[in-house]
Amino acid sequence: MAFPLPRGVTVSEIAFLAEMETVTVVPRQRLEGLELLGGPVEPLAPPRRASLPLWLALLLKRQRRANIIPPAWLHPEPLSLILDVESQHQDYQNAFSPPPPLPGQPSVLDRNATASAKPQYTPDGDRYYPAPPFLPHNTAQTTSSRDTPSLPFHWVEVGNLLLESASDDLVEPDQIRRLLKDLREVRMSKMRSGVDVLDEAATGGGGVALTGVGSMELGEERGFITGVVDGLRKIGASKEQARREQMAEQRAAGGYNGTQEEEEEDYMEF
Amino acid sequence: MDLPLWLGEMLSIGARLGTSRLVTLDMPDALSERVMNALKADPRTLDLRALAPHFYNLSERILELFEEEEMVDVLTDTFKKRAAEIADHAHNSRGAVGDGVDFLRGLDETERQLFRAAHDRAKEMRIWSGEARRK
Repeated sequence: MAFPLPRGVTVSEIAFLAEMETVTVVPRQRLEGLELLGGPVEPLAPPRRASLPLWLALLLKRQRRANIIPPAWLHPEPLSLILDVESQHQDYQNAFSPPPPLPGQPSVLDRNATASAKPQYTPDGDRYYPAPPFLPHNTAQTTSSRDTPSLPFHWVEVGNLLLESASDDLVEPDQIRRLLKDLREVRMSKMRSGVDVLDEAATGGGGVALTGVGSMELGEERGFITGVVDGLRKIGASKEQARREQMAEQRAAGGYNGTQEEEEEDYMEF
Repeated sequence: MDLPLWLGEMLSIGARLGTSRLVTLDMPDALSERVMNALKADPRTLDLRALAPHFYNLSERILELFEEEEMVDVLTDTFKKRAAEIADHAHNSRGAVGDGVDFLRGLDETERQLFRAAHDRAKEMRIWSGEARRK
C-alpha cells in the first residue's frame, strides 16, 4: 500500500534490459568506434557487418543509417519448428522448448558430453559466467547446422522491437508476428496449467520447471505465481507444522541410530 | 455466542494452558461441513466472498487452532483450481465481462489481489507491445 510500484521488474524495465542484446547490422554510413559505458563499439565501415547493442542498432535503423540482420531464430522456419515442438511434441507437453545452450554447455543432442563452461574475468579480476543479454544469441552468426533452433532469453522483447522498428529487414514479418503470437499463447497456457502442480512445490517435493522461459514471460507471471505459492503455503502451514512435529517425534523415538543417520543426511545436503 | 476471532483465540488458548476453560470454539459457518462438501464438489461456483470476505485468511487462522488435515487438502485444492480460473480471466483482454463477472464477484480478498497482479501485468504487457492504447 505504501509503495505503489508492483513487486518485481516492470515490463518496460525488462524491455530496457533486453536492449543490451547484441545484434548484427549492415551499416550504410561510416561511423567511428564509440567508447560507451557498456563497452566499446566497433567502428562501422559500410559493407562490413558489425555487432551493436540493440538500442544503438534500432537508433541507427530509425535514422536509416543501418540495416539490421535478423537473428537466426527470428525467421519463419525456425519459429514454426519451435512452435511444432511446443505444441505437438510429446516430451514438451508440459515443458518449454529448451533455451539456447550456454557457452561450454553441450547441446541437447549429445547428453554424454560434459559441461565445460569457461569463466571470464572482469577488469578487476573477478570471475564470472556471462548470461543474457551478454551472450551472442541474437547475432546473425551462422550457427552450426546441427543446432536446433531455440528461443533466447529475451525473445519476446527482441522479436517485438525488431518487428516494430525494423520489419522491412525481416523475412515475411507478418508471418513472424503471427508465429510469435502463437508461441506466446502456447507457452502462457503451459505456464498457467503449471499452477495445478504448484502444490507439491509448496509442500516440498515437486515443482514447475521453468527452463527456457523468457524474461518477459517470467516478469509477466511473477506476481501471479508468487501469489499462488504464497497462498498455498499459508493454507498448508498447519499441515506442514504437524508434519515437522511428527518428524521430530520420530527422531526422538528413533534413539541414537536414528539421529545419527539423520545427521548424516543433513550433512550430505550441504 | 459470537465473538471476534482474536478474542475467541485468546480465550481458547487460555483454556489450553490449563487455567479455567472459558470457551470452546466451534467452526465458523464459513468453514462448515456443508461448505467443505460444496468445495469438494465444485470449487469454482462457490461465492467465497459471501461466506467471508477474507475467506482464506480466516481459514488460515482457524487451521492453526484446529487440526483438520482434510480441510487443508480441500482448501488447497480449491485455491489451486480457482487460481487457474483467475489466471484465465485476468488474461482476457476484455477484462471482467460476460459470464466471468459472477465468478470474479465471488473472489475473496486474497484472490482479488492475485487477479489484480495478473491482470495489471497482462495489461502493461499489451500496452508495451502496442496492442492496446495507452491511457
